[in-house]
Parts: sequence; structure tokens; C-alpha cells
Amino acid sequence: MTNDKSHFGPPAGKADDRTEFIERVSAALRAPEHVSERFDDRVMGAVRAASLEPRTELKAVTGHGDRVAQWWRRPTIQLSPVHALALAAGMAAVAFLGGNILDGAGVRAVPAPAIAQTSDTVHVVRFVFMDADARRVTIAGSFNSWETEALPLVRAATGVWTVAVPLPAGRHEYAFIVDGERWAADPSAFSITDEFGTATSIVTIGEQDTSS
Amino acid sequence: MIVDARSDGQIVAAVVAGDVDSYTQLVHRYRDRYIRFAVRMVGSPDEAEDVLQSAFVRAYRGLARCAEPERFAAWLYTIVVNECRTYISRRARREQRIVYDDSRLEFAAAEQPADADMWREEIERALGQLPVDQREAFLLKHVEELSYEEMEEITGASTSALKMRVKRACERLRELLEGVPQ
Repeated sequence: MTNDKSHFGPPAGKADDRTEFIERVSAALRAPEHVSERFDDRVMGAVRAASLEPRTELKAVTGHGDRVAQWWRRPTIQLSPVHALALAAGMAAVAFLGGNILDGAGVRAVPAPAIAQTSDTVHVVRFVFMDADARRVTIAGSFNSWETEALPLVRAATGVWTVAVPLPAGRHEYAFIVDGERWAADPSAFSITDEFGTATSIVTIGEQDTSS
Repeated sequence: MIVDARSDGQIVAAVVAGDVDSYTQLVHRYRDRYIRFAVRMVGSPDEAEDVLQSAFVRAYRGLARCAEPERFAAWLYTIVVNECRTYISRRARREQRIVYDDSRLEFAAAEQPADADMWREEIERALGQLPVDQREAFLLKHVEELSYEEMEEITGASTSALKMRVKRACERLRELLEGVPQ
């Protein structure tokens, strides 16, 4: 049983401007097809196997999100990725500010973001999202297996949300999640529509940045 | 199978919360709706089942990123279309000709009047000769009977581009099928 909201398909009655020839061709192709008896079992076998893998994308998204196209109404500012050495000095100042972020309830200490200490160069990118009405903003991306709740942004000022994320060199896709339900691309960054039809943004680190 | 009265959105929420078994309800609801499109696109029922299975698994993996769970059907359609394209592209790179399932055609010949069988065979061969984007657009418009707005949503192409693909597909099918007894 499907509800009305999910209806997606042919309307009642015949389509307009269809020639007789095309109608004969189409009618032949409209003959129904059916899956084999074991199709459901095979699909669910694969799904259950996938469910046993380390969770990557399967996290709760509560409520019904707005169409992602709404993102254009929320201008954002994104600082371009910079070399790790140059950012190290900047991050010292950011860490100081991060420890004294003022929100509606007053000054609240926020732990400075951890920076991975690896042999590879790690760059720190500060993401900024502007939304005066948001109560909570997080960021999810290819750099954290699209965990929707793992990286919350902090409200740095009224309507200004920010977080600093250490990223290795390479190409990263990301999106903001507003109030746990609305996915928003970064209008100031290069965006694509991913395989799930969701608009996501791209940042490229450590090489010539062509993403914005 | 026991009919599940829950909406698609409710089932999606349950699966995302960890109730994997509920996903079978979505599989059961939509497998027959999309298998025909997959068969017509890739030309073989067996291969179409593989493509559809892959689409369902991919949808499961990305379920948390379904922005509108109540419109799961449309979201799944996008994935099915993309899986068909990907499969056809990979098959072309393996330099295999698009060959329709001969055993199926033989079965059809045994069960159907010869004229109807030949007509259907010729249509499927002609369809297989269309470029993928034209085949896809023709099937979505004239076989699955979607609106151009719906086609825009699931293919990402503009209405003007889709109309052109459909037009060219119709013209090419007419060329290929002209003179074939119907």
C-alpha cells in the first residue's frame, strides 16, 4: 500500500500528442515484467550484509526535510582552504576565540577542534554557515563518513555558525544539516548533485582549489 | 507477505532507526514498478534484476540522505535510472553488444502468436539501438508515462533537453521499424 504523497507515475487517461505509431510501440513495451521469486530474498540478503558493515551513511534524519533548493536563500561565507603552516598561526587565534564563543545563554567554553597528528599534512578548514532561524547546525561529509550528528557548528554570532575541521589533502564533499532535517549545500562553494539527488558542496585541499 | 499500512516515510524512519527487516516492505512495494523500466533499458530480465537489486541496496545505504522520506518512490526512481546508466556504460566498455535474452525470446515465441512476437522483438531491437539518453527518455515518457516535470526530477535534465531526446527517439524508432509487420 502506498500513500498519496508517494504517487509518482502515470496519470489516469491517455497522454497528449502521442502519434498512433508511437502508441503502438509504447503499448507493446508496456507489457508488465515481474521479478523472479527469489528477488526479495536476494535483495534483503544484500541489505542485511550491508547492515553489518561499519555504519557510514545510515544515521537518523528526523522529520521531513525541505527541498534542498532552499539553500540559496541562506548566504554563507566560506573561507578558502589554506596551507597548514599558514593556518597553524591562524588557528591559535581561532582556538582562543573558540574558547569564548558567545551564544544566547552567555559565554560558553568550547573545546578547540582536535587536529590529527599524522605524518601527512593536515589542513584545517573553517566552515561558516549563516542562518538566523536555525537552532542547530551540523556538517556531514566524505571526511566523516557522512555522520549527521558528529560535527556540530557553533553559533559564533547571531545567525553565524562555524566549525573548524582538519582535513587531509584531496577532494571532499560536504553539506550542512539544519535542525537535524534540512540538508543545505554551501552556496559559496562549487556544488554537485550526488547519486541520491542531494546537492552537496566540494572543497579541494592541498592542490589548486577550483571548487569556488 | 503481510500488507504494511505504514507510509513510505514511516518505514524509512524505522529502517534508519535500525529496523532493517522493514526495508523488505519497500522492496516489495516498488520492485514491480521499476523492473519493467530496467528490463527495457538493459535488454535482459536477468541483468535488469541485478541492476534493480543494486539500486535497492544503494538506496538502503543512502537512506539517511533521503531528504523527503515520504517521496521515497521518486528518490528510488532516480537511483534506478542511474544504476541502469552505469550498468550500460560498464557493459559498453566491456565491448559487449547489447544482446537480448534469447531464451526469453524463444519462450515468448512458443507462447505468443508469431506476428505479435516478431513485432515485440523488433521493437526491443530498435530500442536497443537508441543512444542511452534517448532510450531512457522515451521509456520514461511513453512507456512509464511520466510528466516532463517528473522526468526532470529523476534525470536531472531540463525539460527542453528531455523533449528533444524523446523527439529524436521517436524519429529513430520510426526509421528502424518502418516496414516491419505489426
